[in-house]
Amino acid sequence: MPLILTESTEMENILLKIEKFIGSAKFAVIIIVIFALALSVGTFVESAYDTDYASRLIYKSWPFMLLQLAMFISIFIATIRRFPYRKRLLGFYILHLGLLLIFGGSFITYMVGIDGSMQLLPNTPNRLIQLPFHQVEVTSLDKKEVYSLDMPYRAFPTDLDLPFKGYHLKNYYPFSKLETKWMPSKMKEARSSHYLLKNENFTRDFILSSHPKSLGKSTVSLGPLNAHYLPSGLAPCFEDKSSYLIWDLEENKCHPLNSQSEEELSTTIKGKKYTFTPKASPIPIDPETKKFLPELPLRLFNKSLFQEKVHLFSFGDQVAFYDRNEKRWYVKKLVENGPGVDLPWMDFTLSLIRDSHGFYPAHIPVESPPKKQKERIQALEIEYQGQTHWLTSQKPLNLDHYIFRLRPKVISLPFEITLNKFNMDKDPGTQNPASYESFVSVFDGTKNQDKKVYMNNPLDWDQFTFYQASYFPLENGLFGSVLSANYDPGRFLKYFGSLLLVLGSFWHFVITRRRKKRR
Amino acid sequence: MKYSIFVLFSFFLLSSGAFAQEPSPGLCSDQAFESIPTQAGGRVKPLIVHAAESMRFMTGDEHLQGKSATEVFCQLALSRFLPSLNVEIPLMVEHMKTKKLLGMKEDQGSLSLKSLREKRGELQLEYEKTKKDESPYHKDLSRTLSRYQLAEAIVDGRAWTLFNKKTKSWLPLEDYLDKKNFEEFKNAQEGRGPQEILKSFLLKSKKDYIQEHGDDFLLEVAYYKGNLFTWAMLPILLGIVALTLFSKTLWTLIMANFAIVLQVIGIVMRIMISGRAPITNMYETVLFSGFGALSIGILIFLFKKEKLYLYGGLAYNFLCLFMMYFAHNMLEPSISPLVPVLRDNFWLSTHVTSITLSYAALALSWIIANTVLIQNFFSRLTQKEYQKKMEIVYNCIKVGTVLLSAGIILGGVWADYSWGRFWGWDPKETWSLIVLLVYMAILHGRYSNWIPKERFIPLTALAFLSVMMAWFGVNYILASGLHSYGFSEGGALFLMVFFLVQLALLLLTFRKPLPKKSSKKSS
Repeated sequence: MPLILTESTEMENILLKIEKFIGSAKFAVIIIVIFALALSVGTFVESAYDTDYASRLIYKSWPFMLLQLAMFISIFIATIRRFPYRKRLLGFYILHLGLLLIFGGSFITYMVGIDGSMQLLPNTPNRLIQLPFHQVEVTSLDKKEVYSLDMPYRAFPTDLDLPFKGYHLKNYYPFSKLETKWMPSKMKEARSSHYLLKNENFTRDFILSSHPKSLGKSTVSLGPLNAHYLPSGLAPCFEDKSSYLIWDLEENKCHPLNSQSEEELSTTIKGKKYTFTPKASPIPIDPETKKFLPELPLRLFNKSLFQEKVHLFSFGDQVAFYDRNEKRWYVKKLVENGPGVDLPWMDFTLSLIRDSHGFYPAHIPVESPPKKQKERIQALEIEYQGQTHWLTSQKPLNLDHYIFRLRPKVISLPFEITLNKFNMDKDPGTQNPASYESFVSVFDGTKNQDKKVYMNNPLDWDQFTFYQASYFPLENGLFGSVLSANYDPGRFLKYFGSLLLVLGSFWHFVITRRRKKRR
Repeated sequence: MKYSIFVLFSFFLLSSGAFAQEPSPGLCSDQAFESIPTQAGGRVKPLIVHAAESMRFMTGDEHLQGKSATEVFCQLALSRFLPSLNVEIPLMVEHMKTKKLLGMKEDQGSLSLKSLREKRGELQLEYEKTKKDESPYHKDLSRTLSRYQLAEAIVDGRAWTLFNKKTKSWLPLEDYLDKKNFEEFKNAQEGRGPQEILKSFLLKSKKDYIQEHGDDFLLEVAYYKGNLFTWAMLPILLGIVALTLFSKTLWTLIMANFAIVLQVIGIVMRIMISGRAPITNMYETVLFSGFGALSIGILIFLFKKEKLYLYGGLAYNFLCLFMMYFAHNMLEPSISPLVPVLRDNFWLSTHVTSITLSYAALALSWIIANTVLIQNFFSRLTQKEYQKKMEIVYNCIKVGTVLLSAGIILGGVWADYSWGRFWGWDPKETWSLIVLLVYMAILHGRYSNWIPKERFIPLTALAFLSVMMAWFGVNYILASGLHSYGFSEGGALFLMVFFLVQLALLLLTFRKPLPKKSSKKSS
C-alpha cells in the first residue's frame, strides 16, 4: 500500500517511485553493505587507536547516525508497503517491527541515557558520576563565579572561536600529545640551555632553565649526577683557587675573596669591607659593628661542599666541575652543537644542543590520535592579552582573575554512595583476580542501606544501575573501586524489540516455510 | 634456608647409600606419578596434565626422547637432589632475531636450558630494550624468557606444588621435602631404599589430598589419556569414505553417531572438570562448533533425508578436530580459570552456545557451498541438482542467522545485565553484527533477485570469511594490534592462508559458471 494516495500527477509518481525504492530490498542491501563496511573500518580504527577514538570517529559520528536513520526508514517503509495484512507475512511483520523498536530504544538511550563511571575511595561518600566527555570549567579567584562549557564530542580538533570576558577560547584538541617546543620569552634575563650527556652506555639530554614557565628547572638529577644552573656572572670565580666565592644575588655576579684564612674571610665591595665566618653563616658581617647584615644581597658560597659528590655547575655556555684526581676546579666553554667537554666521571662527555636567552622550552599540545595504554591529554588553546596559553586536562591554568580546568563532565546524584570495603579474591595459587566485590552503603537523605556490588550482580537504585567495573590500588594497601553508573530509559523498548526480532525471524524462516511447502 | 634443606636432603640421599647405587632411571617412569594432584594455573589438576602443559609450552612437544611429559617433568624437578636424573631440555626459540641474539643457527629450533641460562642476561636486556614497541620480536623474547623461567622453576622445585596434610595447603616441592616432614615419614619406613622412600613420600601427597578433598581430579587423567577428540576423527573419516566412495548412508550415519558419542563423552568430562560450559576459549569454540555442525547435520538429515547435510557436518567436524590436534600454538587445549566477568554459567552457556552453533550452521553452508563449487568445476551440475543444493545452503544460512541474531541479542542482554550497556562497540560484538549484516545482505539480495542464482553459492562461500574474521580475526589480528603487523603469529598466519585459499578457490571456479536459468522463483 503506497503511503501517498492521490491523483497521479508526475510529482506524485516520482514520490511513489522513491518510496518504492526506499522500501525495496535493493535499497536494504545497499544500506546493509555500507553499514557493515563502516563497522569493519570502525573495528580496525579501534584496534589501531582506542575505543573512545573509534566511537568519536565512527560509531557516534553524525554520518553514522544518518546511516542508521536511513536503515530505520528503509525498514519502516518496507514494512508499511507490505500491508494490508497477509498471514504469510506474519513473521516478517514481527521481525521488522522488532528491529524498529530496537532502533527506537537505542535512540532514546542515545539521547537521554547516561553511561558514566563513579570512583569510590574507601569510606568517602561520593555522589558524582563522570561522563565520557570533557568540559571546561572556569572559576573566578574568589570562587563566586563558576562557568562551564561542554567540549564537542569529536575525534578531530575543533576551532571553538568563543570569546569569554577578554579571553578567547580557540582550538580544542580531543586527543593530543605534548611536544617540546622553544617559545619566545619576554623575560630577557631568563636563560635556558639544552645539554646532551653521554658515554658508551648511556645517552640522555636534559634542560636547565631559569625561566619560570620552562620545562627545565634550575637543578636536575641524573642518577648520581646533579646539575645546577647558575648565573653566568658566577663562572669566573669557579676558576679561583679559593674554596669560597661571594655571590651577589642582585647583580648576579661574584666577588673574589681577599683573605685566605679559614676562620674569617673578607672582601671589599664598592669600597666597603665585609667579613664572613664560613663555619657559622653565609651572611655578611659588618667588621665594625660585628653585626650580621642579612638584608644585603651577598652570600658566601662554599665550593668545597660540592667536591665530594658528582656536581656539575652550568652557566649556559660554560660549565664548572671539580676534578677529584687533579684536585682542582675547571671551567670549560661550550659551543652550540660544537665539540663536547670531557667530564671527569665515567668517561662522560657533555655537549650543548641549544642555549637561549630569548626562548624557553615548553610542553605544547599537538594534535595526535590516541595510543592504547597511554595517558590521553585533551587540550584547549586560550588567547589572553595577545598571548597564547594551553589548558590541558593534566593541570589547571590560572590566568589573572580566573582558573580554567579541563576535565570530565560530572553529574551529581540525588543520593550518595560510600565504599565500606573492597574485596578481591584470587584464583588459588595465582595472582589472577577471580572476583571483585564492593561493599557499599547508599544514603538518600533519610535512610542508609548496605549493598553489595559484584561481577554480574549490579546495584539498582532510583532508576540508576551500578556495576562493578574496575578497581585501583591505593598507597595504604587498600583498594578503591570503580563502578559504572548507568541510566537507560530505552531499555524496555530494546528488550521488547529483541524478543520480537527473535520470535519473528524464527516464525518467518521456520514456520512460514513449512506451511508453504505443505500447501 | 632453602639451601640448607637442599643440603640436608641431598645428604640424606647420599648417606643412605643412594650414592653407591645410581638412581634408577625408572624412578620417574612410574605411572603412579601421573595422577599426583598439583595446584597450577589457578586450579588443581593431575601432574600428567600440568607436566604436559609445561612441556608443550617449553619445547612444543609433550614428549622428549621417547619419555612422557610426566617423566621428564619429574626428572627435572628431582635433578637437584639426584643429579644423574638431569635431562637436557630443549627450549623452543621461534623468532629469527631471537635466534640471532642467542647465537643460534637459523634452522635450529631450540636451545638447551644450560645454554639459555648463560645468555639470560642478554635476553633480559634485549627484552627491556624492545619494551617500547609491541613488536612480534618483543613478544617472542617475552615467550622465550617465560619458557626459560618455567624451566628454572621446575628445576628449582617451585613449579611443582604438592598437597601437605598438616598445613592443608599446597607446598612447592622444595618445601614439601622439608626435613621435619621427611624425617617423620622416613622413620616409619624401615628397611626400604632411599629412592623408594622418596617415591612413596611424593605419592603420599595424593593419598592425603584424596582423603581431604576427594578424588574428582582423577577424572582429568582419564580425560587427558582418553584423547577422545583425536579418536573421534577416525569414525568421521570412515563415515566420509563410506558416504563418498561407497554411498553407504546407513554406515555413515552409524559412524557419525559414533563420533558424536565420543565427543559428547569428551565434552561432558571437560564440563565436569572445568565446571562450566565448554565454550570459553578458541579451543573450546572450535570443538563445540565442529560438534554442533555434525549434530545439526545429522538432525536435518533425519528430517529431510538429504545426504549433503550429513556430509557437510562430517567434513566440518573433521576440519575442527584436525585443527585442535595440530594447531596447539593457536588453540590452547588446557583448562584455565575464567576472567571474573565470564563467570556466569547461565549467560555463558546461552549466549556463547547460540553464537557457536550459529557459526557451526554457517560453516555447514560454507563447506557445502565450496563442495558445490568444486563439484561443478569437475562436472557441470544440472539445473535441478543446483536448485536442490541451493535450498540446502539456504536452509543452513537460515538456521545460522536465526541463531546468530538470538546469540547477539543474548550477548547484549548479558552485557546490559553485567556492565549496564546493551551495546558497547566492542570489536567482538561489532564483528558478530557484521557477520549478521553480511548474511542479511545476501538474503535480501537474493530476495530481490539482485543476486542471481548462479552468484548465490560463491557469495555464501565468500561470506564465511566474515565469520572467520569475527571468530579468529578479532583475537588474532585486531587484538594483537595492527601496528605489530601480527602476521608472524600462528593465528594470523592461519587466517591469511584461509582467506587466500578461499579466494583462490573462488577465482578458480569463477570461469565454470553455475546453472543460470531458474525453473521457478524462490523467496
